[in-house]
Amino acid sequence: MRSTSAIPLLARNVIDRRALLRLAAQIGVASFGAAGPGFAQQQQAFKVGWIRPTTGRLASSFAPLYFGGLIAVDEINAAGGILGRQIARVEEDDEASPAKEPGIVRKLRGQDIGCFVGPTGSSQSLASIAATTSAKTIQSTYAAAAEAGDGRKYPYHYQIMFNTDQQAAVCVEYMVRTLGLKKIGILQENTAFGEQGTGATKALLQNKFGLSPVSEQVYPIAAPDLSTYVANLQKAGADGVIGWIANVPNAAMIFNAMKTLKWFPPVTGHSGLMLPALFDLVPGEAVKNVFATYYRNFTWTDTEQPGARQIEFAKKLAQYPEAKGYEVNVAAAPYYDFLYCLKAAIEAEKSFEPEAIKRGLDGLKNHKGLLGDISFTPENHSGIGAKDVVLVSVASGQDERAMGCLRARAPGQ
Amino acid sequence: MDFDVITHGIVAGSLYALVAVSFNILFRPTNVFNFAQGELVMLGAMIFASLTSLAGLPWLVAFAATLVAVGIIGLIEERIAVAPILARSQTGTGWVITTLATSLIISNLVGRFWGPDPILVKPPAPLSMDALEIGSARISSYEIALVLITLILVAVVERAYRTLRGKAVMAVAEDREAALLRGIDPGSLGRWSFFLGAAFAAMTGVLAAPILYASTSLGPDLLLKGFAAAAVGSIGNNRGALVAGYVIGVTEAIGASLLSPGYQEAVIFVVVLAILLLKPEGLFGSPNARTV
Repeated sequence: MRSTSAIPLLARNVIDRRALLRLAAQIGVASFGAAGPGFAQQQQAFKVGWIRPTTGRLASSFAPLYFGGLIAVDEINAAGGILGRQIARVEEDDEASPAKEPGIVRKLRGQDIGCFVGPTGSSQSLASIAATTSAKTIQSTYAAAAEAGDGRKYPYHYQIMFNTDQQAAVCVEYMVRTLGLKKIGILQENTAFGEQGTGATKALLQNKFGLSPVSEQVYPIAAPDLSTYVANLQKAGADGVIGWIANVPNAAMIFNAMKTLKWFPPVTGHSGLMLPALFDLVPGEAVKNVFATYYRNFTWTDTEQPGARQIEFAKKLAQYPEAKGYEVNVAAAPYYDFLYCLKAAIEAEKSFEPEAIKRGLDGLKNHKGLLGDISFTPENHSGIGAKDVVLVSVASGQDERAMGCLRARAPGQ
Repeated sequence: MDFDVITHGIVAGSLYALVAVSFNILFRPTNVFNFAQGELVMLGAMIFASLTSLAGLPWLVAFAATLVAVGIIGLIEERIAVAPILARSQTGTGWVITTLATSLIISNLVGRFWGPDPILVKPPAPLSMDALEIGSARISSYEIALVLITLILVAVVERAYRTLRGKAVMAVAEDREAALLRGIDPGSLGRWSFFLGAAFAAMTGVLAAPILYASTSLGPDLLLKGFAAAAVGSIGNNRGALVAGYVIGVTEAIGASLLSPGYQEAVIFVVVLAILLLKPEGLFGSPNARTV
């Protein structure tokens, strides 16, 4: 290829008018090419698509889940942004409707936005991921489905939260190894989340311990009474229950049914069981044996305290009155850590291009996140490791040390 | 199978029957199915819970205020979403969309007023949710009261149709034009029926709240099975709605107890479908026939 650099011209020791003009033009183009975009980048904010419902039934319940992301944006911007560029959120209302997600992805991509935060919810997330994968857009959603962390299937999506497989592993290990129980029942809501949780639980019980659940109860989330399902577990002789229960009214019905039956087996399950609203609906005795999956960094034991960064985060969260009562969900949301991972990747690659960010994220190792040590590979986009997932006492939410989002680790964890 | 299962089915069936009766109150003089009825049930529960738990109003005051408030919402719905449709054509079906739109609007608005957390609603003293052991069944004093109240309410509504205004409603249900010729104002009856139907839906929400908790998801949960009870019991027939409510509630409870998970929900709709296939006009209806 013919060289266009200025060096041969000087080497020839000849300066004619054409060569001089060419050199001037090259210097101009080079300086515009190098300094122009850099200058522009410093001026322009780094736009991040922010997908959440601002209308619809789920608007108020999903809003707090983005507070962690808002805190991260404030912190990063206050510290000078990413490579000198401030983060600017471009909000889109998805009404928490999976059907709206592909259109929102197209709209944001039309604005040349290459990184998305959200949406929230497994079905909304999977609908969105399908579109962002083909659009090659970097994204992190609030999706607990294990497949959302498969880098081969969704190479541009990064899961920074424990998934159903990890939750099932912690629940099964606790029941069988820590408590020594063999007769385990499963209580599951009839949703995709419930099915994934039960599937993972049964597989682990069978493959790791050669056990089968003594009873498997699947309830409709709209059922007016859940005592029959609880009674079925008791009749089947379950010594412990693994529950895939994600909404508070159902959880309240289940624990009140246990109280009516005077049956309080150890129950392990999803972090949704930790919402303080449950304490208004259920007597304390009904939740004393209930444990939920959470992040080790946010827990305490007799000898260990939560991390200083996590305590600081709890204090910041207290400044958001809208987060009151949802602190656990806010802390467990992936968006705070995702924005810091994004920053780390962009700074490592010194580029805001989606492909470069992807390279940076795929190479991220032991990034000290709020939820745990976050690592990705090109194949594994589930960033949270098993060691960072633990069970915590639901009842410890009423302890003054809880500060909204901190909890006591389950005994033996 | 425990007797316990049957009692739970009857309690749930009572709620389905109440929703079905609220459908009927609206339907008789207007021939309109209000697809926002589930949201009105939810509004009843949420407004009542807010007035008692948050504002600290006495039970009876909050109860009356809730019924009036939701009744007015029903009236507004009739004026905006139903009356203009019926004014154009008495047989028009545009209300399917407009009542559905009302449901969506309410559903969107409630998210701005209330969070997702359910609110505990305690039964009025001396009733309680503590379980009493009666033989092999466990049932609370409030649940017993709910079943009795349901029976009384259905009897009261049926009795109301024997009054002059009730007979006017029946006349409009039978033949709107003929009733109009006899000096009955179907429009006025329609407004009243929307007010009363909405207030009845609100009462259902209030009665359901101590068992199901007051939450923004309460209405749609009850809507489907309430609608099924109205259809199985013959549209417009309140005694039929009561029986159908119990059939659905008990079927659901037995299904949960005996069947494998995949069939529990399906069995309710299989039963509903079977009944409607055998008796398309519902359990208590008769085939439509007019002598001219």
